Amino acid sequence: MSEGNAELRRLAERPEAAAAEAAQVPGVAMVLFRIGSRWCAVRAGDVREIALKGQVSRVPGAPPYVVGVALLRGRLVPVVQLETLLDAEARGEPPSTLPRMIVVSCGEDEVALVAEQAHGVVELVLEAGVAPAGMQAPFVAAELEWRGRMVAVLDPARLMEVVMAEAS
Amino acid sequence: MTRVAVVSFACGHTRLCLAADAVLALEPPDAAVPHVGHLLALLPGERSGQRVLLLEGGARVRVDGPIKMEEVGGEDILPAPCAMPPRLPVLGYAGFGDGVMVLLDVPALLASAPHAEGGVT
Repeated sequence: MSEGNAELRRLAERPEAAAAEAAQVPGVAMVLFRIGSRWCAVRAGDVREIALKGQVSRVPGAPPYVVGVALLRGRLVPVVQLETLLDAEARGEPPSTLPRMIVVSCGEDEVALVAEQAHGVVELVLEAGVAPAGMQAPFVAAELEWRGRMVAVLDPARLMEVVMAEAS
Repeated sequence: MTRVAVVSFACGHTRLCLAADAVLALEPPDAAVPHVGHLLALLPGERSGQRVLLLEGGARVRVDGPIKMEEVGGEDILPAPCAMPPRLPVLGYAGFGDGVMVLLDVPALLASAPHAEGGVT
């Protein structure tokens, strides 16, 4: 059974308990997604959209973690392979048609993150986060535990700084 | 309104184009001629409908099809993302249909090539 289905069943069976649990935990709505083997989260308010199967145009001279650019809602958006940026090593040729693109906004700027899976919006408690240990990237604001997995909470502003610094 | 004739072609799934007046002829594919993906450090995808472009100065570059004559005007130019300002050999980006075409600078493309007598080849 899928995790989502199991969660739905749990909510349906004990709605009062779930509501009480939610009321006790002051969480922040975050979009959860998987990049390679890592789970990441971005505040839901910073996610402009989740695009499916975008066609990406490669750009000569772009840093290795930039897959290319995608045309989304009439705007060109750089598409970033975050896994490459985190590992600082090439992972071979990425597919031209991508499973998901998490489009994150930072002011007027946008960046699309390649993700293998998008879980949707969940409530996470940021105060419970720990400083990033395994992921030393400056755009990882914290790491949280969610259902036994470590989730890297991304800071869009810092991420944009890193992308812009490398690209220019 | 200014419109520029371009020759568009592909490198794998990416559409690229050059000013048409810099392309002197379209020739049959020749594996000895460097592929545009090699010159631009872009990994090509499936290589179909390949041709060789004879460029001004006698340089040659192999490209993937389909190869088309098109026109690009100011209204086609897409603002570059702040995080990715165009850098030579990329002049900028143009929208076509629901896709993107990368505008290439011919002198910069030739400069990135391993030079032999006659230019790229």
